[in-house]
Amino acid sequence: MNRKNSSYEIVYNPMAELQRQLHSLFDNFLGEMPSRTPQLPQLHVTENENAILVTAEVPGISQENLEIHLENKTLILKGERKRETEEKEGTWHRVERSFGSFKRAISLSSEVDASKVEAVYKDGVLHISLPRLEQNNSTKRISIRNS
Amino acid sequence: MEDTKITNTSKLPVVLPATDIFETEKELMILMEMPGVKLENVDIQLESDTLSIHGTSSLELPEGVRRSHAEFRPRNFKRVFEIYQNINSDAIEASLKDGVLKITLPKQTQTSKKIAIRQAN
Repeated sequence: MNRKNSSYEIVYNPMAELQRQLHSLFDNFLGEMPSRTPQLPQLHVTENENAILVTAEVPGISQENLEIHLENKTLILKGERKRETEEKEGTWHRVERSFGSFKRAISLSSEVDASKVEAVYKDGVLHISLPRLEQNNSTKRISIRNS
Repeated sequence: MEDTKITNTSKLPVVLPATDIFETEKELMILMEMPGVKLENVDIQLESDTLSIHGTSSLELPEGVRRSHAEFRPRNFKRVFEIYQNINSDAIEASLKDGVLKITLPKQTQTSKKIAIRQAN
């Protein structure tokens, strides 16, 4: 796993959540500041005993510019947001959206079954369902060979 | 198709969506990021010079799951602009693609109007 990439981020980090809350406190304090496009997709993770659901907001990215990779317990999202080509002559009065490539890695809480992972892209939101690898809880009986 | 219109949106937080505005000779084009918003949950109103845009995002999750991480929640996207252009309000068009709302506001074509001159009695 290449950890040199600066966009590598571990999701299960309570400090990040605290930081986010502090930021939102600031945002509220500053009042009506338009939100810029986050450089990295915004994530939402839910889970139960059978599966992990990762939801990522990636507005403005078309499906063909999205990539999902799974490396053991790490889910990697890659994408590129391209500006709509505007061939017409005109003036940009406001440019708040951002464009370019991103890569974000997410540590999953358990191993998942790569063959059963499903991803759906809808309304600028990527929904990835990752069924957990079935744990064999039953004790396995070891047969004894006769020497 | 299931009815996904969100009725009670007042409790959701309100954010200002990131917006790009492009103007050509003929029209104004607004591009606004609204991930998770369906077209039936978008409301666009033009009253004199004030253009109000409102969208509500939703996040449908299966039952019995526990949230372990959240950087976003369902929310209201709201933005109001003053438009100092004569807009042909009947020809405004809006579409949603990949979570980006695109609004095209055609400018009112400036036709020179002949003023009739009345004969003073």
